[in-house]
Amino acid sequence: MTPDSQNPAIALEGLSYAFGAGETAKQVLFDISLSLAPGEFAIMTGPSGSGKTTLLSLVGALRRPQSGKLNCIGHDLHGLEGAELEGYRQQLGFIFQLHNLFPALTAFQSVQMATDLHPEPGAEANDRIRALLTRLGLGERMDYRPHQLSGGQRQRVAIARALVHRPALVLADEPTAALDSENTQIVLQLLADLAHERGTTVLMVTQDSRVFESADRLINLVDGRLDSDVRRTD
Amino acid sequence: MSPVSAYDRPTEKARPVPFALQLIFHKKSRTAVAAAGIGFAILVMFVQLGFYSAVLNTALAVSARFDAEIMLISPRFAYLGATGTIPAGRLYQAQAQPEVTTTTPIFFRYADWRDPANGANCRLFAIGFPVSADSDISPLRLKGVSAQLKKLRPTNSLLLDEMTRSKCGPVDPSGSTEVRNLSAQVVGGFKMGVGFLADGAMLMSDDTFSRFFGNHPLEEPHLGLVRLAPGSDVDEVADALRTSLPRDVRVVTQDELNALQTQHWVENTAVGNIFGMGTLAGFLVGVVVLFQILSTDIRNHLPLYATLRAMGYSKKRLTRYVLEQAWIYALLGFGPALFVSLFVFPLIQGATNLPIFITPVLVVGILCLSLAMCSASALVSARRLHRADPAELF
Ligand SMILES: Nc1ncnc2c1ncn2[C@@H]1O[C@H](COP(=O)(O)OP(=O)(O)OP(=O)(O)O)[C@@H](O)[C@H]1O
Ligand SMILES: [Mg+2]
Repeated sequence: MTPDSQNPAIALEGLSYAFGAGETAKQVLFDISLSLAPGEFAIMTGPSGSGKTTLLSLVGALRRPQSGKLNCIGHDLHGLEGAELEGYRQQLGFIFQLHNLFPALTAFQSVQMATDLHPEPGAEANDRIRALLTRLGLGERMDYRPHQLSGGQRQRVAIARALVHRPALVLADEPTAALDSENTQIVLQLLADLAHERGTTVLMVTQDSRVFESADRLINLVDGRLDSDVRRTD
Repeated sequence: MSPVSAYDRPTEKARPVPFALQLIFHKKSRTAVAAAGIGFAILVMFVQLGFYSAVLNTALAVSARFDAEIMLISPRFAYLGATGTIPAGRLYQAQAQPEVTTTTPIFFRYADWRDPANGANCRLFAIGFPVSADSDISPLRLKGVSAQLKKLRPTNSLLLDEMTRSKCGPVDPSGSTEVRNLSAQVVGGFKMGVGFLADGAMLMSDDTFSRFFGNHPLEEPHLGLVRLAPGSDVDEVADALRTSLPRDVRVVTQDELNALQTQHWVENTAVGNIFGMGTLAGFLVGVVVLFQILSTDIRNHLPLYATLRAMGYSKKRLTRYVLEQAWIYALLGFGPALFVSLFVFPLIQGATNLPIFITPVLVVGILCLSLAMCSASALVSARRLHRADPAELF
């Protein structure tokens, strides 16, 4: 199966974006065209301020697109609103630089907040939460609250929360910045498995050149323009 | 306990995260302070609304006890403390209606009361009515009064309300006293309680009434009771009386009289307004206290709520979480407030002899007010959730 033969999971065409309006408007994305197939694991790099985070938040429907085409997993993101917008976001997995965990919730509950949006019978969801937290090395800490966890452990809870509901598309911004190399490997393997076994499309921003080899695609952004787009084959 | 054990139960159900409960009980000391503040507001509402219902009880203390279906009152009637008079002849005319069985003229007046034994002074509400040899039906439904009616026949005898305030002196059911500087005999007692109307009440014959109040003419009663045969259509008879009687009397049913009384006490008196405002003040204090707590909490957690929005949580669902927290706070405040009220109410009642009681209606009413109060806070606070913008999360 060749990725190009299917409907793309992410399809950008002539996408531009500017912060502000009028005289103070600052354009940060210029005419970006890009297509990711289902199951592709893409890594996006680029210097600071090149617009990587802005691009992620557009694809994640956290910002409204302004001009150009933006289609993701069957949704036109222009004018996406209300329940439709929420339904789209529910099919996504976000990994932010900050873990953003509620201090009052245990690790298990934080992850369960994601499965609560997808009611399923019995304890299947709970089984998946346990399995995922265990795989991320938190099997003994499921009842711990954020203040009882290290920075890296919190980040892994947030990663579990982003992945537990089997999203169609994972958007990650420097997800491994707070992790040691061992846990970085675990997380990368997890993302690669999701992409190659479940067909999850992964778009991950990182500066960490050690992890490039996990990716199928290497996308480089410079000054808001697509600088290079390399398909790795091995 | 191993941290994992809680999830190892084989029969576990998929229960959603008890989000609101978790948030509330995570910070126990803050929750305790919040519950105390809300509990105080609810206690204020309890006491104020307790007094307010005492005002309502006051309004109905006498009028709801009249043993008659229809009353004739003066067009100048404001409330039982300011009645005007009606011509007694209208009562005889009323008897022309076939459904009317008996009529009774009633007299009311405030009277200064003095206990000569200890010089205690107060103001009682005097109620006079005919005490004839052939009738032992009390015009007021009061336990034990019918049996004592004949004791009222000697002039200057009276029955004293045992709920009369203690400042009027010892409520001795057989003692000499002074009413408007005339000597009188207390020959018995009954239990009524007139609340804010007066310090107490006394029943007497119309003759005694007339003597106490400067030979008040017996042809000018302050109100007339009209009793109907069982099964009569009260509204129909009232209409018939309205057309047949001249305009110098007003015909009202008992419900209408009660409504006039309630309207007067709630709308026209300071007490009704004060306790209504007091209840509102307690409500607003609660709204403000909880608003501070909830909105501070939302502000401190804005990026976290934004994360939930990014995950696909709707504003509606997040608002529901805030509402749930508010309801938990309402219950946390309500319990202690009810508990304290159970001690405070008997104290107030004992000190004032006002008809202030914790009734099921009051408890349910306050519970509803508390939930409404906290819901109002929650809905105002939840507007801050609009600022939870997931665009700034990455
Ligand atoms: N909310 C905002 N309002 C105005 N300008 C913004 C806003 N967010 C980002 N920018 C600007 O847009 C440009 C692109 O920012 P962006 O965060 O997308 O870059 P980035 O590639 O993620 O950088 P980094 O590697 O430092 O995270 C930057 O010049 C930044 O200053
Ligand atoms: Mg960035």
